[in-house]
Amino acid sequence: MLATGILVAVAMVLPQNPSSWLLVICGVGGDAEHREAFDGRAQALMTAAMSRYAVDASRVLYLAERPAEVERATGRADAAGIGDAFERIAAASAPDDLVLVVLLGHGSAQGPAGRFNILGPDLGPADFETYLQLLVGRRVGFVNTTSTSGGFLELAAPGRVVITATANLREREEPRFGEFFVEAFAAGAADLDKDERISLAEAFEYASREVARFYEDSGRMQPEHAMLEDNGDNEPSRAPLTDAGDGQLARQMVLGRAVSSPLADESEDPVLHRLLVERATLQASLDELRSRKDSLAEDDYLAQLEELLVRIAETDAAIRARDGSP
Amino acid sequence: MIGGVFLALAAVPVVAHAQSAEAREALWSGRYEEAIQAWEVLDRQGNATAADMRGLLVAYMRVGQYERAIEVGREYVEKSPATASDILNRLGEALYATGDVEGARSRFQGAMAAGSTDALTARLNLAIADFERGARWQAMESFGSFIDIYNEGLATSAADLMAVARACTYLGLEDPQLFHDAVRAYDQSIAAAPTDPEPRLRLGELFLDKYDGTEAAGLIGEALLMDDRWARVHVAEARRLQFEGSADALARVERALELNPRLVAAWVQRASILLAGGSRDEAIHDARKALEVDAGSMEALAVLAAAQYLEGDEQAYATTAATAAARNSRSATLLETVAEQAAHNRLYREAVALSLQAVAVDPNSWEAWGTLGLNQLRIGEIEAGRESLERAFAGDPFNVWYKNTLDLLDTFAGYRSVDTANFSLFMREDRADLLAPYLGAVAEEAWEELTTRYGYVPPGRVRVEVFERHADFSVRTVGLAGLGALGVAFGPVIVVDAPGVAGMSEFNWGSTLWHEIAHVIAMGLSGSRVPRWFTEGLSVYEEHRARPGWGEHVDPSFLLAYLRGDMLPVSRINEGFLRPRYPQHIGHSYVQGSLVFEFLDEQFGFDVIPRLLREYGHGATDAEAVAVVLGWDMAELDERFDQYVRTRYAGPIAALQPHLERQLEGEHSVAGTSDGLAAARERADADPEDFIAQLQVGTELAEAGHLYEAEPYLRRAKRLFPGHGGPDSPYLYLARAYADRGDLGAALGELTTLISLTDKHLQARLWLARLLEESGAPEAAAAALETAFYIDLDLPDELASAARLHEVAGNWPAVVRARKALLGLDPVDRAAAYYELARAHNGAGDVSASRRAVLFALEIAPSYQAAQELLLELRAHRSQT
Repeated sequence: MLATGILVAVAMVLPQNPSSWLLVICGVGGDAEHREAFDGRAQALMTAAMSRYAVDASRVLYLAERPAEVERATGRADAAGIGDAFERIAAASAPDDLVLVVLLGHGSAQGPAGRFNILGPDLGPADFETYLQLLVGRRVGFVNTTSTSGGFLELAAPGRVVITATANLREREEPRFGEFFVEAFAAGAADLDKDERISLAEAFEYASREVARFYEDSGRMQPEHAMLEDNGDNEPSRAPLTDAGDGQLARQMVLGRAVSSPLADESEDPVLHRLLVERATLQASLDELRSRKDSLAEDDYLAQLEELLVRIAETDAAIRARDGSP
Repeated sequence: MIGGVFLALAAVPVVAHAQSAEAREALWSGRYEEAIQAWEVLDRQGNATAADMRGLLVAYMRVGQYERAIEVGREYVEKSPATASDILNRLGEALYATGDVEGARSRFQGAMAAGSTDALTARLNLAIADFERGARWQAMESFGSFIDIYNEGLATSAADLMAVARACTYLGLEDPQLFHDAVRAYDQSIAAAPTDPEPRLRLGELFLDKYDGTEAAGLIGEALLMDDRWARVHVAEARRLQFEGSADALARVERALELNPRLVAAWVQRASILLAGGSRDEAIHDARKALEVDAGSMEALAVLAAAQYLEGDEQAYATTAATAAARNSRSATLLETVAEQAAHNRLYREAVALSLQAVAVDPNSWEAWGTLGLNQLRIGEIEAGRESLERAFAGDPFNVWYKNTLDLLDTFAGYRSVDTANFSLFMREDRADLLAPYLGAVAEEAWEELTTRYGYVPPGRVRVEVFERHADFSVRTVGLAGLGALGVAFGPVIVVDAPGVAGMSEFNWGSTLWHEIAHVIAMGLSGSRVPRWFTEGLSVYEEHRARPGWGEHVDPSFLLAYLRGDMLPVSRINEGFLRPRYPQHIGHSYVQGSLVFEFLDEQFGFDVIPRLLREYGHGATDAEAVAVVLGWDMAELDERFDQYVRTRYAGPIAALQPHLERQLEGEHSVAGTSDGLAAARERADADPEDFIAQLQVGTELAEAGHLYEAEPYLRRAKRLFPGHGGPDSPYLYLARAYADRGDLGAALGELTTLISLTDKHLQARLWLARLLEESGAPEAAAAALETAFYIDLDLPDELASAARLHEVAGNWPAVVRARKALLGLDPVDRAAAYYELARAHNGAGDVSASRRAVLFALEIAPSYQAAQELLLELRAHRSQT
């Protein structure tokens, strides 16, 4: 009974190590300068995914305007290429896998709908909805960094995080959001909870703040306001880390894992396995305590918090010692 | 012949008609003497109609010849009984202006009974007379009848519509919506008589009553354009200027008195302005001048009572109040005026007590409720103040001051109080963590320094309200946006602009806060009876003592004004605040005031300053306090102070002499042009002792990038006026020049001197900090950064640098302050910010605060290894102890 109980607890608190997929689509650049800039972001994001967050190279797909002229391209960024990429991921991925789709390039508005500018007819939310339907069952992050991308917020659906660089179709200036969103993964500065991984919520928060800082420092009015929608209520948020509505799914959606972090079900060392299980249990207790914070007196909360955090610190130290991490 | 006679007879009315038209034209365009002359001729000839006589009476009254108007009016009534009723209203107005209320009432009644052409105005005047003697119900009944008159279309002329408008204004006291009707009727009156300034003037006055200066400005301005010789328009403009805080108000009301030396409203207005500035004797004189014309004028009695109250002359005050009560026992005007003047003279608690009396006399006096509420807010009774203001606003919902203040109070829900030992810092929730560590430290330091030295401790915690928008600060202070000041002290409440507030030029919040806290001490020690010049000068003096460079200093413009004789001696220094003679006069008076205290300190020692304050508290005037404490008369103080200034600044004065001579010869500067530069260079080369020429050439060459060429001029300028740290200070340019040629040590020296001469120059401070850090002086670099933080705190990189530099120097309390401020800037990486704060607390030996901060860090980031290690270390430390 006891053994079964532990196993149940492990199953509850440990993720089953789903895989992460990254699909980067660079639309039409329009000129060499933009092509270079968009490709630079794509390369930085892919590099970070593979080297910092241990995403397997075979699960990183890159569709470019001119695939022959850039590194790591796996296809052409036109309707056919995009459709093929989604089909390929749908076929190879497992339920609960994370698929992060990032659009880099230019956007436009056509009537009430936003468009992503690619070779051939531009694609709108309805087109992407068709592709995303192929990924039902997966945890999907859809990030559109183009101008007028606010029009893509209608892609909101259960189990899906939608991030747009602009709040609506009226925000037509070329946004800075994409640059900072990529930086969040590449530089690691967005790791607010110090777990050496970046959640979509952290990346969004980081990029949004850096955009605001950019315009404030340059004394200009901010023409772009990024949005995040992840609870399917079609009421997107600008501050998912603090807002009550959106953000919960985005906080859990993390690209890959920290290269230095061992995984419990991959560990053959029984002591390490036990420590990782214990760590996961403590994390669950911490999450539960934090959820009760408002109902507790501060001193009481801090006392309970300290006990848990000391145990977490001791467990993490033991894991590091066992694992040989610094 | 017969025909000729007929023609001659017919010509008389034709000529008379033309003369009448000319007189009327002269009246409406402000040529009153001309109008009087023309109508007097017609009257003597027996050709004056009743309309002419009405015009004549108006013209007499416009220039203050009320008795003449009465005499001529009476004569006309006697000799022309058939048309006499048509001048009864104007005759009544003349009688009313001289205080003969009963005489006036009977004339108004006569005009009404006879159905004269201005019977509606007579009805209004009668109702006003009733209202002002306390027969409010009767008056309101009469005002109410104007609604029916209007609705029945019986008010058609401009004068009738104006009467309706004025009646609606009174009705609006009970039903504020009627102010809308008043405005509408005024608008119709303006349309009916587009060249008559009166309806514009009265509508402008109505807007002034509601503190809507913008609307009032347009209307009064138009009235002035139509007739700039009508004294009443100038009085209204003076009111508007006073309301805006403009120093021009006094000059404007004096213009009114030139035009009509017997205008009661003008004397009352002048008395009010003077009294607000602390000139009690002059105010009493003016109030008495008004009462000479109309012994029953409630406004004149009120301002007289206020002056007597402020003088502390209880017997005279009681007599005046009794006279007013005999005239109208239900009027709160006197008490409300005294309360307002008490507030102008910084007696806020007294203003509250007086306003409470006023609302007890007349619970419908919205003005008194407003004065009560605003002063409750000033002494920190926020909730009571809000309630009083809400009551005032319910009765007077068009009052902009009440509305603005209530709107501002609504935003207080987003504010937080942070208490230090002696202050309650009230600031916006999202800024409190940034500001509180620094503001609290300065406030407590000032408290310690000033309470010790002055031997006075304010009775309770001082509330400091910090506003992130200058408009909010301004509303909190004067009810409207646009106040130029940065801080105001109401005694137990200080209101200041937040560091780096938008829309204001660079200022030092540290010295500003210190300045205001010095006011709290001066007001407390003197029972709020310290004159303005004294408390302002003393606050600047205290700024000078607090930190090198803090406060305004003697600069070239000050000395030039002093040498030109533009400034006033100490005995009249208060006039520099009240009636500035030139644009910089108020600013110069602050500096002059500070010099007075530096002089007294040097001459007698600091102790005479608190003694002087105590003398003011006993009701002494400047002359009395100076005589008792210093043993001098004011003339001696003036003379000795002048010697002090001329001796202390002998060097700079000599160096300014050439420029002063050029100014006196009328030579205009052409700085900024190549011709100007060439001429200045010639002068500078010819006379190396000419400071302005050296400075002009040096700064212009430096600005043009010719730093090497600029150097000798700048060095000479520095030698001639070494204390000049203003925006064009030679030190900054020399630092640039030295840095340009790689001599960073010399640049560092110039910058170090510069920041000891001024409390501004943020960029110079940041540059100095960088140079000091690069030169291996972390402690000095941190100190330079700390001086920059008194100007701006929204400097995350610099705060982080300061924390790092203080840590190197082992100054952990300063590290804690910087880390707290950084956390207050809401950094993206809050976990790291909390961790650094925890480290700082730990370094400072505050284990409990460190634990708390590290828990917050780990709450956000439970896997944060460095924070985990600190937590375990703290835990181990706790178990050991």
